Amino acid sequence: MMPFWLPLGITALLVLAIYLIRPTAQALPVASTVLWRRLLAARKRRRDRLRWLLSLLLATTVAGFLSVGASRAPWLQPGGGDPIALAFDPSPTMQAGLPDGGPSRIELAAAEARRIVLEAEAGSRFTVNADPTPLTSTEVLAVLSDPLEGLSNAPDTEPAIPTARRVHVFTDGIGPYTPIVDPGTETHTVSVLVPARNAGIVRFATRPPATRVAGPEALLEILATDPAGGTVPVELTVADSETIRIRRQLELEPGDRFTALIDLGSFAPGPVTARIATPGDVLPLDNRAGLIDAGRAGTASTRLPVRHARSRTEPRRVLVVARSPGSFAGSAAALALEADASVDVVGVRAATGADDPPPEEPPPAADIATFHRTAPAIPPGMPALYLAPPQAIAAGGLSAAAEAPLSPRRIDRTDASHPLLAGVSLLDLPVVVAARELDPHCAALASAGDRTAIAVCGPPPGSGPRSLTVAFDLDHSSLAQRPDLAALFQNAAAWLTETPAIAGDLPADTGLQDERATLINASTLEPVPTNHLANLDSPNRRPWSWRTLALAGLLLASFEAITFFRGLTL
Amino acid sequence: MADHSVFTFEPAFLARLERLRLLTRRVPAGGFKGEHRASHLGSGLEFADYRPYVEGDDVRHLDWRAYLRFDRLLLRMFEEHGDLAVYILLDCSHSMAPTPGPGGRRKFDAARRIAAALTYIALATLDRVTLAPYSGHVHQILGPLHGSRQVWRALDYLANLDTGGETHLDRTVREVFAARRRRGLVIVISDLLSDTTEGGLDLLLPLRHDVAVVQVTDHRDLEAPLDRDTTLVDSETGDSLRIHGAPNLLHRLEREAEAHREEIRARCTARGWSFIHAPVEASFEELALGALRRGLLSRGR
Repeated sequence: MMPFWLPLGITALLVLAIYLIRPTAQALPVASTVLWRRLLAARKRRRDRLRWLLSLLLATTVAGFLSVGASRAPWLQPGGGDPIALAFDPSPTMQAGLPDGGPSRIELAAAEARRIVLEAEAGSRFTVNADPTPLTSTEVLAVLSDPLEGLSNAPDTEPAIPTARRVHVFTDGIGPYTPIVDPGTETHTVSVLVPARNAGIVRFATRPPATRVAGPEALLEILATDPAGGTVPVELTVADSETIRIRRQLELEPGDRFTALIDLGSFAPGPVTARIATPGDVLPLDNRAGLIDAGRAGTASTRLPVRHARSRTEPRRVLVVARSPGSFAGSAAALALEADASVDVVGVRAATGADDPPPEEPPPAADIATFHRTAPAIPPGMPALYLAPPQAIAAGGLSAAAEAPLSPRRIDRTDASHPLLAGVSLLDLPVVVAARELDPHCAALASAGDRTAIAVCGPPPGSGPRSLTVAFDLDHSSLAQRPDLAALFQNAAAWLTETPAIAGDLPADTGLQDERATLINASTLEPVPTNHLANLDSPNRRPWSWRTLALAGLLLASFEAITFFRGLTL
Repeated sequence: MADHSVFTFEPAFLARLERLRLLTRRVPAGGFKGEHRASHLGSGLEFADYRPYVEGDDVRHLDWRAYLRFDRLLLRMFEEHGDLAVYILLDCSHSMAPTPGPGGRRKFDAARRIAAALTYIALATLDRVTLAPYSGHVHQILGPLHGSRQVWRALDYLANLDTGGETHLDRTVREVFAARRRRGLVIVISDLLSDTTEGGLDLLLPLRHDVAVVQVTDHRDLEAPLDRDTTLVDSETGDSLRIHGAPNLLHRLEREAEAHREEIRARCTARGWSFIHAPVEASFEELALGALRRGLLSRGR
């Protein structure tokens, strides 16, 4: 808003400049100026009468302006009842810009709110979000003048809106924003949804398999959306603290999820940053993600809470990779999977190569990759179940698994609170082989002495698919004879396919946003009409505000005073 | 340095002047004998009228023949003749000669010629003449002069006058008549371009003089190159006045000068005074035998 003194200053400068550039007058000596003064006085008499009439007109105008302006002044208005509440969606998608470089959705919301404020009855009061302090139109316009500062700092997704005459909710319909309004209050939802193109990193996390010794990997997922439906070009760069290690051009279809596993072994210790650049991208928040590999950086990983499990009605599809398909058939694991109604084995494939060669890419239809007596060099980008991996050694400590039976060890410690062990009792279970070592990212769910019997891994910092390692040979275990094995498999299938926590639960330094934030067009609200966007740049100011009228009156009064008392001629 | 050239009159013109005398409606009693008929009847030689006798009158003036014819006591009245006190106040301010040189002194020269002519006429008719040149104050006063032999002294005095200073007629009237109680004819010769003119004339009213105002004008005072903004500088006061070029401004100035003149003329007429306009563009003979004679002079002998 233009300062009050600015037009006054400009006017004064103009008057001064015009006064200074007046041409100098020639000096002419005359016998006497008596007649000249009489002549000017006669002219002045005529001019005075005209001036008197103009003064009357101007004074009337000034009085009219001032009175009308004063009548609009908020301090002369009565309270006007309950205020009008303005509630702004604080979700990250509100910071998405409009197509073609326009302002953001939150700025569009502020513009719509300004329109509402200016069209409200004189003397109305307003509240913003959950703040119960009533504001005048001038004050609320000041708040709305900087929406990124004044409206985006309220992370509450369920704010309690103060009692109000009516509530205007400004949202794009994306994200869990549900303001709490008094029952019966007139509520208007103002959509600020403007479909636009966006690509974002939705997952970037280390994913160390329990059996992998080469070092951690990073799982990267990218989502793209485009209302036009065309291919979205994305440039991906991954860098460590020293240099860019990976640069890649991608072509994504809207709605496609691009997944990549990145070997972090060659990366320098410290943070790893992934960035994407997309032409026409309107939400820069999800264009960057970072992670700090706890193992490489020497810091503890952050255990991410799980907020909600994904409910499903279809059985989980399991792809089994075994050292040889025949070794899996008839095994205790196969029997347990067949007995589990919640899973559906979609295929059994043989592992290629004896020294942990990379397996074929699992078909996308599978939910869980199960490895029987083998482990891939590169973990799959999906939940994995490792059954009797090669790293398992004889419980006695030195003998190979093939040399069993040896003196078994018994499981003496379990984490009974873990959902994997719900309904499963493993204590005193004899095991003859156990994991040789445990990945630092994994936790022992059940141990036999100093050996790990069952390990759970992940999701590691930065999120990622989970994995479960059953580190002893089920076929040589009494567990295969017990119903606990079926329960364990059922729990494992559920736990492995649980949706991990997302968005705001992540550490801030990862830069990751809610996956729904990347899908900035997935709203049930109607998009903003085009004519609203066209009028966005027009001055959103009350045409005859009391301040404008008072200013006009002051200017006229100043002009009148100058011309009347000074007789100034330009 | 005396400038006598302005007083060079033709002998024939002088002869015509000698047949004129100053016209006045009031001649105060007393003073030297002159050619002016007094406003009252006294002990002169020319019979004037009768009036009824009242107690206390001198019985020597009773007309016994009329008493026998009309059976009423009537007193014979005779006209009394005396001289006229003439005060000539001559404006010598800077506005009378705003620019040096012969062309710039036209108003002052014309005013001096008028003063000289009136002095000549007054002295020729045995009037008493007092010359009081003034500007911001009264300069050295000459007179009262009496007798035609004083003409050359008066002309020499007028020839030595110069212009300068502002016009203060009011101050002049106070100074001149502070010690001069005798009523007479006051002749003010000026361009009247001063704010003090009206105030000075007002001061003459209670003194019960007969007053004649002679305004000397020069049309060049109403001319100025006004093609752009101009600052007019008053030659007397040095005051400046900024004006902006406007069409017909000089024409309106001329009309304003005429209006100014008519105002003073009306004021004089209302008081029974004479007002004579003497433009320098007219010849002096034309002026003296025309306007001056109509307003101020009458045929004498």
